[in-house]
Amino acid sequence: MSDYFQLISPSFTSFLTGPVFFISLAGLGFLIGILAGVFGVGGGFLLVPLMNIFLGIPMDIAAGSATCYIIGTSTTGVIKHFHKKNIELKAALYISTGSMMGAVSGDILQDSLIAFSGGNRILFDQIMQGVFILILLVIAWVMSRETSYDEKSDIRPVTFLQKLKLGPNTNLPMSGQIGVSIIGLFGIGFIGGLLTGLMGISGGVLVMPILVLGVGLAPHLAVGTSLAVVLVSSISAVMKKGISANTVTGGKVSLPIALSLLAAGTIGVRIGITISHKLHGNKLKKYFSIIVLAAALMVAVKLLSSF
Amino acid sequence: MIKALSVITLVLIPLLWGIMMVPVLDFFEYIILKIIRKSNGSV
Repeated sequence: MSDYFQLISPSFTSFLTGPVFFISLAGLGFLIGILAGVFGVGGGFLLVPLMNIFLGIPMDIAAGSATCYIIGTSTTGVIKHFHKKNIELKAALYISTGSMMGAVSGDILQDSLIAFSGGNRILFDQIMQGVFILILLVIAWVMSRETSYDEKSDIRPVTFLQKLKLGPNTNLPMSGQIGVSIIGLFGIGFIGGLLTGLMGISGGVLVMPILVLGVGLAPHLAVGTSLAVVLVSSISAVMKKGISANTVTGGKVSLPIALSLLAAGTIGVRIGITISHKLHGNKLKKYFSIIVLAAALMVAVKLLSSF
Repeated sequence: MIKALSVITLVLIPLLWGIMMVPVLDFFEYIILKIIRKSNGSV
């Protein structure tokens, strides 16, 4: 039984103790929850470094616990978005499947590329982080400039996935798109998953731009659908971490930390969703580009600290 | 066995928490909106 508790609550030392530690976690969870609600991201890219820097939680336990927290916040968000008819379920399903397969392929490709480059893992990580920063900067630039979305118009432009003559096709009823390529949806998820697996970074921040720019979903619909994709990928990530955990050294996911984050995190998500609905689609995209820039900054800090 | 149990715990507890919080937050949202409407004099 002690092994079980070591797996769900690994021990570590922090410079904060007792109620102060747990209240700080709840506060962090609340703020990141608002972000998750507004933009449909998991928020791990901000949460993990903040937990490490301000609370002294080791990076691996912070990353595992943040993923466990994201399951809770995205569940609350997905149910609310579903009630508001803001989720394109078919798109979420195909993209999630592609994303999970892409993440596994990315992991394998990463190992092969490291072996091919002579086993220099640090150099490989630095190159990948550099590439990821570039991708994030391009996404931020495109999202801030692309303001063509008109909420009042019933006419939707034909998207890339509708032009793609790669059957079988499906219809996306919420966004009114007819004849969207299933292989295209799967492929977009696969590429997103491959990038995140290859770079070893959780890719929630990539899903929303993929849905807006790649699938052509309206920003509000993209937020709900993105959260559904994030929910599936966070469950698979926690399962992967749990399966690879060591009963002697302890797991990488701490349930007490995840629950402290969740205590106020779900309230944050609900507030975030309300804010998101009050924002115009074009504004939502502009503000999201700021979040992408913040993610790029976090990766840049990680990259610089590795030299 | 213990590892499988820990994985189930780590996935199910946040998932159930997320589901459970939906009606709780719905209730609080209803109360808060009612207070706001009353203070605005629209109810």
